[in-house]
Amino acid sequence: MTVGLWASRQQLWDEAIYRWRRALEADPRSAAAHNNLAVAYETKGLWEEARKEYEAALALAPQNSLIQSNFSRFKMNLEGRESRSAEPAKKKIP
Amino acid sequence: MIPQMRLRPTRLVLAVVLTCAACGVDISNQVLLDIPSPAAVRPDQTEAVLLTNFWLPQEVKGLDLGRELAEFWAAELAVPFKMPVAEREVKFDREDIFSDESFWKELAGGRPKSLILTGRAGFSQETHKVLREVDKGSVGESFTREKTWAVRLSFTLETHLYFIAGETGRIVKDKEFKETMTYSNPKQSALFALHDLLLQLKMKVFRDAFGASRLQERYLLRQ
Repeated sequence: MTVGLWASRQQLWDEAIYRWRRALEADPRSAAAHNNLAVAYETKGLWEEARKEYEAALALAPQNSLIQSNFSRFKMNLEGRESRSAEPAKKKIP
Repeated sequence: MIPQMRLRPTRLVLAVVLTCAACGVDISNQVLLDIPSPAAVRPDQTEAVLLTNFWLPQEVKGLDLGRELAEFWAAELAVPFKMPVAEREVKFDREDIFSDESFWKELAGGRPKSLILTGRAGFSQETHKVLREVDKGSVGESFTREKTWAVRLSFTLETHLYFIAGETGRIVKDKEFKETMTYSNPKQSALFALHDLLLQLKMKVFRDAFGASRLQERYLLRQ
């Protein structure tokens, strides 16, 4: 997970995808890995893959407001709406 | 003798986790990413672009709005599509014309990979007065301010644009826009204001239709 985050900071999205996929192989129930993969797919314009990962992340952590916020902004982007109006995350889930 | 406190490893871990939670340790990364938007219109997959006149429900005094819009869009669309834009004249006589697939298909001759840009537009101008406070300089230790009325001129361009696939006559992208600009010059030319508004509009239309990327917020999670 951490290497994936480091790669994402360097804009190395292929590397980040590889790392988060590996994280999912180790722990398929990691909502964070699904969420991060979804974000990475978004940056590459892979909408269907991103949607699947967000849905998987939300299935595992339906109350996570950060994933909810990401998914809501993802949908707004697909619909061509500005994401500024997206509902801000109210709190960070520990 | 001071009693020694010893924590078992499990309790220690629990204590650390609870302390972190209480201190609000950030387990997420809020990031600004350049995320592309899906393209409704693909210039690289378009072989012909047709531009129609616009439906203008109201005439604009002293300005040939239809001509200005046609000239602007013909020139601007030719850039991303890298081809000249053909103009077509349409008689707008009913509200549902934009969703009439057979009409648009016929207009484009059912030509594959052809795209039609059409729409409705309105342009209005409004003069209003605003109250301004103006510094009149200082007298002794106090500043004097005077309230004066100033004239402002606002121009608004409202438009509903439709990108239609010539092969099927189906709308591939449509969106309503409303752009307003206010000028302090009471003699601001309507024509120049229209072009300011069109340039502003063009950026939004192209970004929406061609799916340019823009900075968006997302959260990356650590665990």
